[in-house]
Amino acid sequence: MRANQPVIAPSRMSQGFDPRNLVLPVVVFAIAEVLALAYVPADSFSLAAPHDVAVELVRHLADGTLMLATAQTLGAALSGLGLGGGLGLVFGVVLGLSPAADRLMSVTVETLRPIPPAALIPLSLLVYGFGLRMELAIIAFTTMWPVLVLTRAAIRETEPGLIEVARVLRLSAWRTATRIVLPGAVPRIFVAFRLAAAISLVVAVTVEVVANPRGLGYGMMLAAQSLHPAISFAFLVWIAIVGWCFNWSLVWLERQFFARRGAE
Amino acid sequence: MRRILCFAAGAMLLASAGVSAAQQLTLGTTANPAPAAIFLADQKGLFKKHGVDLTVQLVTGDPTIPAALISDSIQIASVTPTTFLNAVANGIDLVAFSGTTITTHGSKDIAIVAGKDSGIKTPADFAGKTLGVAGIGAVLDVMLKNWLDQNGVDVSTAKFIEMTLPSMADQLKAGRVDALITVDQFAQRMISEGFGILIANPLAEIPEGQSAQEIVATRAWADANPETIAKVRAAIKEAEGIAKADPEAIRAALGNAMNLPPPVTARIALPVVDTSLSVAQLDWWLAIMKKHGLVKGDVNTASLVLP
Repeated sequence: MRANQPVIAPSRMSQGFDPRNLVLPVVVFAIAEVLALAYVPADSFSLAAPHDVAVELVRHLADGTLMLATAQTLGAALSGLGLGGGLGLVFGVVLGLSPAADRLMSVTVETLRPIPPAALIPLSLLVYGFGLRMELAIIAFTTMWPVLVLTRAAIRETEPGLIEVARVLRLSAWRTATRIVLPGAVPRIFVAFRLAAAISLVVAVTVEVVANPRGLGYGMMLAAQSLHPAISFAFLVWIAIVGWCFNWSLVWLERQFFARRGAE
Repeated sequence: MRRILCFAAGAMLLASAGVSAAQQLTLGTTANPAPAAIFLADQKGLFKKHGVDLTVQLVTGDPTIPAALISDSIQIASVTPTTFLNAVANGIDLVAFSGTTITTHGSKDIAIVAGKDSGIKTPADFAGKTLGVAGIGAVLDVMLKNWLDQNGVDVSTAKFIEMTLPSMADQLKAGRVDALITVDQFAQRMISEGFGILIANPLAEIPEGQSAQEIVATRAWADANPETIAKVRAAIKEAEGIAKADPEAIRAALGNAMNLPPPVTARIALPVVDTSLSVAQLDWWLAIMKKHGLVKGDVNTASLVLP
């Protein structure tokens, strides 16, 4: 059965941490430090030496600024993902199970899907104002599509033989969906959520950079505007770390749920 | 167990993000010297003194302000005349009830700077050049086009490209633009490091007393809250008095509000605080914007300033 194949090879994290992975970042840090000392004036408004960035990163972690901003950004990303992913899942299952509904909705889906999230910022700001809701709405809209499309595809690719079996057993549509179709599609749907989760963080930070005065993107932008490049870069480095941890935890969750089934 | 902890942590994150602030008056503005009177009134506790519970919210972009006003996430805002007039031209019913700072012939807040190797020495040299602005149609863009026009340069021959203010020094140094219009703190560095040449302070060449920013609200909110507007006006007026008596108080207020590095605060060009606002001031901006096609539709300025 398809569900028993590992959908995505569990990434290298399963092989444990390899200290050689740190060589490149350390070398880049050292080169950047030397270049900064040589070429970046201490009062530069656009660049900062890595050690200054590190100092600001520690300082803003210690005073709670980064933690509050991280909670705001991740909160928006996760709640947007929950709403958008949930809707995408429901619509994906419906469209996957019903070719008629899929044909009916195809123009609508294909028209709405390519709308870039940034284009929704003015509209969302107008409707919801600054704050969580405006960001959540844009994230939900953006993350709904990949979940919808991948769920629909996963449902459609159910083994035709299994559907035959369901028909022979005279299972109802509901039981066919819950007993045969969905269990086979779940690992792929999880992959859809993982992709959507990465998108949700990108969209959250983008909305904060452009308009919403909260979270990591806003902190980064405000620091740049008040001529503190070191703080701005510290936010940027932190966003990268948060993004990495976010993805790592999703891969970890995926392995918790599916790796054992794959090994069976 | 670990899964439960995961979900608990997620739920806590959601909860912390969902907590909203108590209802109060919020004033939106960008971090720049023009709203000096507001920063001063805020830091001296004048809003509270006049009975207004007001929070100053810094936003990252002036153009987001009209939408934020419409959605009531801010109730009043300090905006540039270009954003204000464009919003009104687009059918957003905003009304201004106070000025903040004005231009004088001595104002050095805004500078037109050319690259050392750009070949630009006089206004005539700008023809056909690539010029950097912070936003097409925004205040600095309008100022640059007006200055070129005043000096007999055909604006349509030049190419205008957008860049953020903090990146301007590097763009000029790298020769990606021949010249640009910027604000004082950035111009200073370009000139002191020798890769930029000061061509003009455009504010010195326009009639004195132009409004740099206006304090605005939606007309509906303004009609419903005349008493609050009177209190805000009184607080701003008192700040104006402090600024006139002691211009250095403005420096401290700007440094605090914008969280500037101390060396920048120390040499920032101080704006002239003047909170009066007239229809004629808006007309001056509108005329230039119309001339360069930077506003669409018609704007009736006569109704845009509250008596």
